[in-house]
Amino acid sequence: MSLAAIASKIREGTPLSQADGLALFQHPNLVEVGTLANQVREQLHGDRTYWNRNLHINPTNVCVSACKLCSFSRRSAHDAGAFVLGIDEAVGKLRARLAAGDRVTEVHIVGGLHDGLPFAYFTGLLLALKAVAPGIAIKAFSAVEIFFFHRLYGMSIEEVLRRLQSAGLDSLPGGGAEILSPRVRQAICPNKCAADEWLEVHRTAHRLGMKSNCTMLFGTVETLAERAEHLRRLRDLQAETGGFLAFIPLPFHPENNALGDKPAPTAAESLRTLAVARLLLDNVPHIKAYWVSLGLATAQTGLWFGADDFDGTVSEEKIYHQAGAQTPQALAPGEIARIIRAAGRVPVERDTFYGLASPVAGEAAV
Amino acid sequence: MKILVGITGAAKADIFGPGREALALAHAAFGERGFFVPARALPAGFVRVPYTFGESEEARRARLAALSVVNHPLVPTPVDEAQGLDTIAFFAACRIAFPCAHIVVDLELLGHKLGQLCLSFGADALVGSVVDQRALRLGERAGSKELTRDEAARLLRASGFEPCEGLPEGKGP
Repeated sequence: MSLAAIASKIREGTPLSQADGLALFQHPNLVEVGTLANQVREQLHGDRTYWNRNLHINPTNVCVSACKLCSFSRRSAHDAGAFVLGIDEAVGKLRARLAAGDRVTEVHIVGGLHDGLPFAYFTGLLLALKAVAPGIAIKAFSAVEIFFFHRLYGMSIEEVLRRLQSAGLDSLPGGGAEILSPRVRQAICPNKCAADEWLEVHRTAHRLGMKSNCTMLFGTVETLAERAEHLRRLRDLQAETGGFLAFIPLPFHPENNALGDKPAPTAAESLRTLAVARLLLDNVPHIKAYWVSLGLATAQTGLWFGADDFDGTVSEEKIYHQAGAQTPQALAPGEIARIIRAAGRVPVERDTFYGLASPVAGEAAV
Repeated sequence: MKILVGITGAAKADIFGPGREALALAHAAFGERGFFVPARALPAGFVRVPYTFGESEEARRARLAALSVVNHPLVPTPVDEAQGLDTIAFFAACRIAFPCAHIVVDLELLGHKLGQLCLSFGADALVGSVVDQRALRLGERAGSKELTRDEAARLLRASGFEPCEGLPEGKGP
C-alpha cells in the first residue's frame, strides 16, 4: 500500500493493518514517514513532551534465563559482578535521592530471574519503599519476572500480581517483550516466557486495574515483517484491555553479550521505529523516546518522529550501560527541560499515569 | 567533543519541509549514491562551514549566501558543542543553499548516530577514520568514532543511499 493510501486511512480514523506497518518499515523515505507520524503526534499531544522524576533500581542481576541479548545478567550468585541488593540498600537509594531534594515520583524496578530469593523479598522491597515514600508510584517487575514468579512460587499469575499489588505495586514496566514471535524468542531468549505468556501477564494486570507499558527490542534477528506483527499484537491487546500507557522501542545494544556480532540498529532505524509505532499503535496514548537507549540526539529528534515522552531523570541505569550505551547515567530535570525546549516542544512533568505535576505554561487547564 | 542537542531559536521549527527539499536536492545532484571518505583528518580542499547553536535563521542564511565556494566539499562544523535538531536543520540549510555541492558529515565531530541522521537532511557524504575490525572498538574503545567500511556502507544504505568510496567532483554551487 502506498504512503498516500496509508495517510488517507489515518485521516479517516481507520486503524492501520500489519501490512500497512510493513509498508511503513519498508518505505524508502524516512522523512515522509516521519512527517506523517509527526502529524498524528501533534494531533494527539500538540507540542507537549512528557517526562518524569524517576529512580531505577535493579534488585539483582543474577538470572537463570541466559538470554543471548543480555549484557546485564550473571548466571550464578557466585559469578564475578553478581549482586543482590539488600532491601535496606535498595531503600537507601530512594532515601538518598529524597534527602538530596529530588522530588522523585516513580521507582522503576526490574531485575534478573533469581531462583534463590523468596517471594517475601519482593513484597518486602515494595512495602519498604512505600513506607519511605507512600505517595510514590512503583512501576516494577516486567512480565517476564511476573511469569517467573508464577512458576517459581507456584502461584497463578493473578495471585502473584494481587500479592504484589497489595504490597504496593502500582504498574508494570514494558520490558521483556523483545519480539513477540516464537521464532525470534527461540533464537535470542529461549528460556524467557513465550510471547503469549508475556501478553497474558499484561492482560491479567490490566484486568486487575493496573496500567502497564509495552516495548519492542529491535535489531537482533527479526525481520521487518516480525516487527510489524509485534506492533499488531500489542495493538490487539490494547483494543481488548486499554491498559497500555506507553510504547517504548528499544534498539538492541551489542556490547558484552552473545549477539555481539550483530551491528546495533542505526539512528535512522530508531526514528523510523518510533514513527511506525505512532502510526500503527493508534490506540496507545504515548510513544516514548527513551533517551538512555536511543542516545540524546536521536531521542530529541524522535520528538519529531512520533514520540511525545522523553522518559525521566532515571539515575543509576545499568542494563543499557552494560550493553555499551554511551549516554549519561542520569539527567537533571533542568537538562531534560532544556533538551525538550530546544526541540521546539513544551516540557510537561508527569507522574507514572500521565497526570500532570503542574499546569502547562501557556495552556488552559486540561 | 560532547554531543548535546538543540535547535535554533525558541520558535517551533518545521524540520520536515526543509528536510524533504534537502533530500530531494541531494538525490538530484548525486542520484542514489552516498559517499564515504576514509580519512583521519579532513582532506585538502574540504571547507568547514561553522555553525553556532542559537544563531538566527536569517543570520545563517546570510552567512551561507556570502560563502564563496566553488566545487569544494562543504563540512558543516559546530563551533561549540554539536547539537541534535539544530545540526540536521543546518545540514538542510546548507544543501538548499548549495544544491550541487558535496555536503559532508564529519563523523569524528558528530558521531555515527547524529551523523547518519544528517543523511536524511541533505548530506550526501561521510568522512571518518576506518578500522579493519569492529572488535578494535570494543572495551575501552567502545565510544570510538572509528568505523569499518562495512559499517560506513550500512549507515549509507540504511539512509537510502548506494554506498561509494571516495568523492566524485561536485557540480559547483
